[in-house]
Amino acid sequence: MAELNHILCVDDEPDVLFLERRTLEKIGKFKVTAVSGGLAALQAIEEVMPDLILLDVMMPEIDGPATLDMIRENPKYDDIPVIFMTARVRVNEIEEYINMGASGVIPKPFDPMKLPTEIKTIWDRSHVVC
Amino acid sequence: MLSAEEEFAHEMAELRRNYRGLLLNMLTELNPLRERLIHGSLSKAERELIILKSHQFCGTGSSYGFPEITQTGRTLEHFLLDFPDATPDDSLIRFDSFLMAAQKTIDAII
Repeated sequence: MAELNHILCVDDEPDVLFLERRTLEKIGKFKVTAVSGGLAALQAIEEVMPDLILLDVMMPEIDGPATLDMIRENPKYDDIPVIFMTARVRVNEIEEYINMGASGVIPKPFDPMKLPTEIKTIWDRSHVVC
Repeated sequence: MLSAEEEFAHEMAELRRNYRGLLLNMLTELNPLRERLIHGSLSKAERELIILKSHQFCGTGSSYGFPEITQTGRTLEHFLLDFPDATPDDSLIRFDSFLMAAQKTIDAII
């Protein structure tokens, strides 16, 4: 199974981004690149080729789903799992996000101590060889 | 020697102090809208600002250890989204709960 090392975090709220980065680096021992929007995310993907993307749903200008669409336009990035993070989680919305191609949805607010494990669980699930 | 979890817990104390500043800024933005909410004269942009702020703080409160911010923020956001024609009184109850939770949290963070 591929190993999860490098995570790209995308969120327009600096305090959320900071908290994600600190918990994923400190508790999860992951390498983290953090950017504040969809366009910056596309550029960062090209530069660092992350193993996984943690993507906020509600962002100004280009939101999470639109960012995911743009990521999936490039076949090079097909294998990078994307996990949505959102404070507006309703059952039908989770289903929509999964249908859009997300590997998982993590609701906000997240528990900083548990976030690395939640991500690793989704990562492992998305790499199960059938 | 501290474990990574213990070190992070210490760091959270500092992060909470930063969060206090964000709550203060939010109150500065939203408090002036209270009178307009009472009189039913909020503009579309002002209403959207309240939805945005309640959404943002709903999404962070519990992460910083303040579930009341999350609960009251979620209630306010969902109410404004689900009931755009609600009476000012009904909106005000939820608006005040959210602001009171924010003020209580600010007072609690040293």
